[in-house]
Amino acid sequence: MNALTGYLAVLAALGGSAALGWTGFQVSRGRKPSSALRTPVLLVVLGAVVAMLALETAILSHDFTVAYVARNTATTTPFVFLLASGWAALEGSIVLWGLVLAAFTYAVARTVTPGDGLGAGALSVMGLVGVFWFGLMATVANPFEVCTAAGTVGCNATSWWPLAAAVAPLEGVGPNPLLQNHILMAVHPPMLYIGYVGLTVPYAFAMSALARGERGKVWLDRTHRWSLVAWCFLTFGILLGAWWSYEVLGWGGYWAWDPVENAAFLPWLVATAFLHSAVVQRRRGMLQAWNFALVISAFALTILGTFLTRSGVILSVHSFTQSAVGPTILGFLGVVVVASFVLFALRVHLVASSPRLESLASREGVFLLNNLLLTLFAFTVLVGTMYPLLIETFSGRQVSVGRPFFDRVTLPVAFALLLALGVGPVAPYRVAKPAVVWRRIRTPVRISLVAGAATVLVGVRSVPTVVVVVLAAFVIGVIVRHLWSQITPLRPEMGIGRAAARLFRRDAGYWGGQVAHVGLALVAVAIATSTALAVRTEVRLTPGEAVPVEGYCLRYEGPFTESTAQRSVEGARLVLLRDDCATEIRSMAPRLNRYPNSAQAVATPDVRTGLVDDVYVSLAGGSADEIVLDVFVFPLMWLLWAGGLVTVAGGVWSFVARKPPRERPTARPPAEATAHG
Amino acid sequence: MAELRRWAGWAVAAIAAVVMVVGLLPTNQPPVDDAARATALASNLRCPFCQGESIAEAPSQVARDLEAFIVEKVGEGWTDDEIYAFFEARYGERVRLDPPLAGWGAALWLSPLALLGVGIAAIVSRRRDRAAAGAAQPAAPSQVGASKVEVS
Repeated sequence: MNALTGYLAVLAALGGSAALGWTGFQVSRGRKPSSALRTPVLLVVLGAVVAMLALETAILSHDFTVAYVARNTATTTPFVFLLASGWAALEGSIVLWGLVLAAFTYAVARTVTPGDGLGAGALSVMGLVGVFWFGLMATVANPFEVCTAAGTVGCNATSWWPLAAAVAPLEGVGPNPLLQNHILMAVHPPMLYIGYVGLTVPYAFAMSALARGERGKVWLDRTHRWSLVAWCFLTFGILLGAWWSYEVLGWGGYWAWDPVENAAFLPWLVATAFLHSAVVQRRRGMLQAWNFALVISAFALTILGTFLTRSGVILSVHSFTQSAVGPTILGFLGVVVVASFVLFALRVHLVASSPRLESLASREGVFLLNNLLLTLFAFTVLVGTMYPLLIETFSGRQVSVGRPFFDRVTLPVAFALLLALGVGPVAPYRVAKPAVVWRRIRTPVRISLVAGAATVLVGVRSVPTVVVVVLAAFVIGVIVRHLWSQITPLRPEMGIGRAAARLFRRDAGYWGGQVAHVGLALVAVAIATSTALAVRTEVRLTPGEAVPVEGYCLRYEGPFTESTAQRSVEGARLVLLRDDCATEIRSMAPRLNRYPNSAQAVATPDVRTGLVDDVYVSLAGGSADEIVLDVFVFPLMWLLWAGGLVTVAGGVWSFVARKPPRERPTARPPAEATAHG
Repeated sequence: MAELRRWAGWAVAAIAAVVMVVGLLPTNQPPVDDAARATALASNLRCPFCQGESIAEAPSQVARDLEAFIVEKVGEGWTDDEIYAFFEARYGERVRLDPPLAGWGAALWLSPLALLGVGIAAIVSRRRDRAAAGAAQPAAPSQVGASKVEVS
């Protein structure tokens, strides 16, 4: 029953998407009234919602006739993990993807007014994108396949036909151990999906503007908020992913330049570049063609990211053909890239004509530098991620590209970006006079030099770390000085707090951006300190023994075990002490978790977060008499999470507090549009 | 008085700069001892039986054993190249997390530089054309697109 309902819902959403693609095109040409869009949009939304509900119902009621349920859940699975199983495995994740896409489609449809050709065209593009995702669900990634032969645990054979004679295994296989180990594993992918799918909206408007040969910045004005939403969710999703990796995975890090991480980071880099270049076009009418190229790239990278994470290609080039999902997504990626850039090449002369850049030494110049650097950053990550795949595909050789490459190549780019981040806000538009810039930076320069000297004096000898501290202090100094100079004239009237609040409200986009910059500067410092100054030691302890470790002391009390139907736990009870080995700080309990459906244990570290540093203890192994611990000390780790949250807060502020731009959806005369667009 | 304060501010900044430069001089850097070399080697080599992490990072017994092996060989006086060669011979070239700067590896390492060159050239040449064409002439839009697409 669940399978039938779900499959019919997928078909309804697929039909709705196809109808939307066609009707949107017709409406955009003026051949149909915009009211014709309503039915297809509702069909997409209804289909997507019912599909997700049907899947969740099947999971929560342990309906093992649905193969997905038998494969990814078990009767012993706790409720929250059951719920999360609805989107945690491949097919379910695509159902969630479809749901998010339907939500965005609905939200865009609400902004489309009669005569709004650009918006109708964008809906048409979103419909076509929907055809792909719902088509995937109806065919090769069908979450509603029924189980036709039951094994003792799980399903031995399946059929796509929802009315096939279904049998239910007595028990399901259960979720992936990593998912069961921590609920964050279930929360951070949806954040990333909202970010990923959100980038479909600016892409759809860009395609619509290109296809209609519509000049000017209307498409940018209409998509700016969507881009911001997507960016905020992407940022938050990446942050959560890093935190999960650090707090849960237990290898003692938060970023491994793993292809899955890179897959989320690539669209973020390009979306960040786009947010900035969009400002240049909105303010000065420049970079029009470039903005189209960036939006297309960002969207294509979200598809590439899905391909990398969902096709199994990372494990081996040869494993991805075992399922048809990988090749299908790859094919879609090819279609998107070719079709988009062909349209771009055919139409770009109609839509883009940029005014002169008066001087490279100007705000526009710095924006250009920012875009060059972010593009370079994205390109480097892309090349490093794809290199092993390409080499193996074309020559059969197996090679790796890892942290040494990414760290070394992106470090100078990141330094240059930080510098640009500091100089940007002080450089005036059009032409920056050196005297003006100097007056604005002389105090921040002094502050940053003092901050650098202080870092050296506390004993840091790592050159990159000191450079990052100097640059970050400069960035923050410039922003604070600027804020202060704006507050000063208002101060006698209303006091500092209200003056700042008024500034932040009046120019929410700008100040939100500056808050995000402060956050990024803090993140940069935390990355530097936690990379260059981290200490790692292996400690062996017998019960009752205490040993000094890197300025602290650890005492081993004894082992403990826990056992539930879901998992069994082996852990070590420890006490963290000051370096005198007498003053207790707190107790710690790193663990190894074993799940019935996996031979490999999943480690859960214990982390004590402090203002100066984190003590990170992971259980590496051992026996009844002796345990082996990996102990890390990471200076200033909290800055990473705090800075990341500040960055997200900045993005959210520019989105929430900014008045939505006046939308003029009806066709404007092209001449007027280019005059300031 | 204001003048004096300004000079004092710059004096502090100058002292800070000197402190920083002196503190970071090569002579004040910790020496590259065997332990540091072993750590560097372990982070550049992939743990062959783990999930893609380096020997230094992977949380498994195999990785610890391999790390101990590296420490031992560094202590015996093996050079970096000898250790890389040993691991490559044993586990294939995929143990190198930083592909050597040769063949396709060179393309990998140098491609970001090439893109940087193209980007700078694109920006500078556009500026030149514009300057030559004068303010009245808008730049050819097709060229704007063409020079930018490559960068994407």
